[in-house]
Amino acid sequence: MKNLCLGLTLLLVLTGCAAPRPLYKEPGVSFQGYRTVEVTPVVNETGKVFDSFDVPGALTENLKNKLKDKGFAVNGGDREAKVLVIKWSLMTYEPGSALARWVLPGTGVTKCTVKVAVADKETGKTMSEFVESESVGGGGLYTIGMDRRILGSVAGKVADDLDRLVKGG
Amino acid sequence: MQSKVIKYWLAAVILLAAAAGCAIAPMVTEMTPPVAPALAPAQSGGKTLQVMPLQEGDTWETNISKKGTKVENYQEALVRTLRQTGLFQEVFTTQAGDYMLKPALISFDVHPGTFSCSINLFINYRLIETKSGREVWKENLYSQGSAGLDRGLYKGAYEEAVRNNLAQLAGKLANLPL
Repeated sequence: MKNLCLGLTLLLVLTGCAAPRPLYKEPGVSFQGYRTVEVTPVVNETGKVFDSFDVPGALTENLKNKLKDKGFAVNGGDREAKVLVIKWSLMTYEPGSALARWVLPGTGVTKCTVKVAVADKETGKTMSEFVESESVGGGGLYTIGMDRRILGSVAGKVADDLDRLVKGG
Repeated sequence: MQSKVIKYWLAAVILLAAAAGCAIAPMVTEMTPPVAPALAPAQSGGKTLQVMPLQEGDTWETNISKKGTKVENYQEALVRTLRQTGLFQEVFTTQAGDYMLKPALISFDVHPGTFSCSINLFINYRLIETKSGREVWKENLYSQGSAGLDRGLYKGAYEEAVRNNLAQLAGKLANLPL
C-alpha cells in the first residue's frame, strides 16, 4: 500500500514536470528587451459569422488583458521601447454545447484555434510564429459558458508563449 | 450458464482484437492532394530537387518540439505531390539536386474525441539553391484536418491535414520563378 501511494505521488509530481513545448523562432532573432506589445485585432479566418457575440473582439480583449497580467505594456507605453506586434488569425471556433456534452460526452465539442505571428514593429520582420488551440469535449453541465471561457484560455496560452519567448531571450 | 458467459466473453475478446487489427495507418494516396500538372506549366527548365526528411525535435536550430507527435508517411506524400506538380524534372530524396527543400515541423496538435478528431499542422519550408546555398523561399504553412468515425478519426484527420498542407505548398512553389 505504501509503495502504491509513493508511486502515485511520484507520478503526480512527474506529470507536473512536463516541459512546455519549445517555440519556433526565426533563426538568429532575439527577444531580449521587449516588454511592449501591440495587439492587432484578430482576423476571423473561419469563414463564419458569429451572431451570439463578437468572438474576435472578445478574443482580442482577452489577449490584451492576459498580456497586461504578465506585465507587458499593451498598445502604448514607453515610446523608446522596442515593440512587438502581434498579428493573428482565428482559424477555428466552434461554440459547442454543454448540454450535448452532458447527454453524450464527446459531442458538442467547443473548439478554438489561433495562428499567431510576432513581428518587430520597427523592422516589420516576423520573429516567431505559432499555433495555439483548445478543445473541450467533456465535463457536461460544468462546462456551461465554455464558448466564452475558451477564448480566455487560448488567449492565456498565447500570452504564456510570448512571455516564454521574451524571457528566453 | 457458465459456458454461455465464457462464450460471450470470448466473442467479445475476438471482436475487440479484430477491431484493433482494423486500425489502418494513414495512407500516402489519401495524404496527396489532387495536384493537376497544369498548376505548374512546364517551367521547370530541367531543374531537379532534393527533398530532405521532415525535421522534428530538438535537433533543429529553432528547437521545435517532437513531443507526442507521430508524423507518419509525410515524406512519401511530399515527394509524390512534388512529382505530380511537374515543377521539377526530377525529385530525389537521397541524391543532390539543383534545389533542396527542407521541411521542419513547428507544431502538430491532435485533439482526439469520441466521435471526431481534429489536427493542426504547422510546417516550416525552406527552398535552398544547392550550389550557392542561397535561400530562395521560405514560409510557414498551417493546415487543419478533422474527421469523424466514418473516416477513421485520427487517420482521416491526419490525412486531411497533410493533404491541405501539401496543396498549399504546391501552389506556393508553382508561383516561384525558379
